[in-house]
Amino acid sequence: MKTKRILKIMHVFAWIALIGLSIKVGAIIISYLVSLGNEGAAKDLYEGMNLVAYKQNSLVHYSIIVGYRVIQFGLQAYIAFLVVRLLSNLNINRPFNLNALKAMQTISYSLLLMWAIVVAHNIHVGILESTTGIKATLVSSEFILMAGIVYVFSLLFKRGLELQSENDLTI
Amino acid sequence: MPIIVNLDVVLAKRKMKSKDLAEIIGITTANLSILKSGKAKAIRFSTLEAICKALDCQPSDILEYVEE
Repeated sequence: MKTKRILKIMHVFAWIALIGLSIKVGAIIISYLVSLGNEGAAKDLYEGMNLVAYKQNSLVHYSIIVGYRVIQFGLQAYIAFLVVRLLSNLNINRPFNLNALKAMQTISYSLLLMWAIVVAHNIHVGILESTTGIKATLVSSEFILMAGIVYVFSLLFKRGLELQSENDLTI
Repeated sequence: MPIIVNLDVVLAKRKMKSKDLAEIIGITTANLSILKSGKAKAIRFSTLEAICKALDCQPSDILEYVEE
């Protein structure tokens, strides 16, 4: 069945995303800890992430900005984990179930939280740019749109669950 | 629920067991139990037809409306 094959492939991709994002979060945390003693490490925390200017300016601001990034990528890893769990427990013959619905709603709320973190980050670095002159690197905040879309899908899924339950009780 | 299913009464009159009725009409005993207990949300016409045929009765013998 084509759908089953596609879902299996998506499951594999979700696992790859989960592992990759978990490694990313761990690498940033370790790089941050190393950078506390070695300023050079702040030049490349992970894949070119250069926050040395913030570290030279203020350790507190530097730590908060690293915190934003860690939370953001941590949430992405959590969402990947939810997708992995959703696809692991999926029964293609009875796809509408309470666990899947809860997973979709949790993904939606996580995306909303991620948007809030990104907005806080962008405001913070914006203020720092105006006060210290450090050029702000803004993070894209499209997560609110994704959160809304996933939430709408979760509402449709909820209706699907109601219809499935009604069908189960139709003799 | 306003719709009462009097399947037990008709089964007793016909001296038929639930298991036998389920087998005749082609549904599981679990589903028949859902119908008898009043937990069913709906019944298909095909199922109602099969029940009436098996028990030689009318839908009104099986289904009763009681105002809440």
